[in-house]
Amino acid sequence: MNGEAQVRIDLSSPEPAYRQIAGQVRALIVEGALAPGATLPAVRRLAIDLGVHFNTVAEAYRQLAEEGHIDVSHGRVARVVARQVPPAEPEKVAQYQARLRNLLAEARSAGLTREQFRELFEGDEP
Amino acid sequence: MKWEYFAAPAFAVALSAGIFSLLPKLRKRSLYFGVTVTPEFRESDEGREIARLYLSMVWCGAALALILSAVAAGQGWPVVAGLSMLLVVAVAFGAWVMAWARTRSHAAQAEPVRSAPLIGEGEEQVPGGWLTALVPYGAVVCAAAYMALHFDELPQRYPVHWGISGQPDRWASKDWTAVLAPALIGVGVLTLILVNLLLILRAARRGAGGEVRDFGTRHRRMNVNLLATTMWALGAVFTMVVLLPVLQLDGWRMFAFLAGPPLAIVVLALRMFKLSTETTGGSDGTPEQCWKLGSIYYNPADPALMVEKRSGPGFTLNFGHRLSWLIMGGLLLLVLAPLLVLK
Repeated sequence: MNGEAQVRIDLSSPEPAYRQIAGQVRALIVEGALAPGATLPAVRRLAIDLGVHFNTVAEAYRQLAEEGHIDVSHGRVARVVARQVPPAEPEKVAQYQARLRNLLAEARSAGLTREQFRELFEGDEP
Repeated sequence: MKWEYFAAPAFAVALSAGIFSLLPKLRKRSLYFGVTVTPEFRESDEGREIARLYLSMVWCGAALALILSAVAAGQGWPVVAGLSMLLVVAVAFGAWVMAWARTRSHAAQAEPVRSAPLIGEGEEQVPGGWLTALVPYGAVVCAAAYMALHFDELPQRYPVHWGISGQPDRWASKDWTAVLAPALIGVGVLTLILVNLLLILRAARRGAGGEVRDFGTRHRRMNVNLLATTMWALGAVFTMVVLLPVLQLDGWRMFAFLAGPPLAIVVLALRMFKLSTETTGGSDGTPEQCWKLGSIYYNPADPALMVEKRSGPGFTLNFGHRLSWLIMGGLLLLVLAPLLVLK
């Protein structure tokens, strides 16, 4: 169940609030903290709790629904759905490989060793 | 001097001044005169100076009000004596605004991080469920129905006011207004409380995060419980008031029946005041610049219709929300409707 699952947004961050919300809910779903069938707060409720406009939350939910993580077709309730992930195409693999290389280079520049990076990477793996 | 003209206003003035003196203490430590400050500010020289000035003004206002009451009592002006309480309220409000304006320049930096629980609304219910909230209405309506069914048997000289001995001391000629007015007022009051309760449940933030969120969650839950208990207590009181003309109670029984239920409210209210003096840090999540005169919240960008008050425990409306004006109008109508009916 949802347990103590929370979403946190930083209004001083350059990343738009809707992307922060979508990113965190996506991470919770992928990590299994939000299981299929779990219900998310209504758009109105989450907007009130976070003190952001309704459209901000609606946009985050719309993005997650487009990705197939949640189902918002049943009235006001947004529900986590079991997502069938198709095997990644070679272009997608190459794209993530490039992003990972850049991230590794950034981490090495910031002083992280290859082992530390590996630990971080494996520690975050669901 | 007519002591009866002086005693009640003097008591009210002293009580008001006492409550206003406590007001700066009845809030979590991060708030001082309605401004979010660092925990250390309250004990700083400037913080103490602001509080000293505020208290001096409140008690000067109270002294002036007492002098006015005494003069009015001496001259036999009951209305002026009664109005003296407004003087202390006006002075205290002015003192509060001055303290708020001075504290604002020491406001702490607002926290840009906000958090919210990812749990659905299904878990947010009226305490005890909907049927529980309808019981007080049922009791008042049943009492009114009993009186209506026995209308012909009720005395023609209908009692409408009772003294402390439990005996009626004012009467009216029997008609439907005299018989049903207490029930109408009771339903109106219960509805006011129910609307307040629902707004806190449905249209107020559930928490801001971390320590403050914990405070916010408990404060919110305690408010909801207090309002639900108030509904039951007032439901019992209004049921008794509707039935009083046929109950024939002596003074002590009447006092026990009417004052007993509100005791539960007092206990819960004291617990809420205690919670409000707890020392927590951080912001309540509302922007500083959206608070006008330290107690009026106006933020059109905030979807919350109710927010935690900054002066004392409880919640207040976000006047930047368009629904707030509709609610104010509706509540005003609800308050005025029984008066118009009675007229």
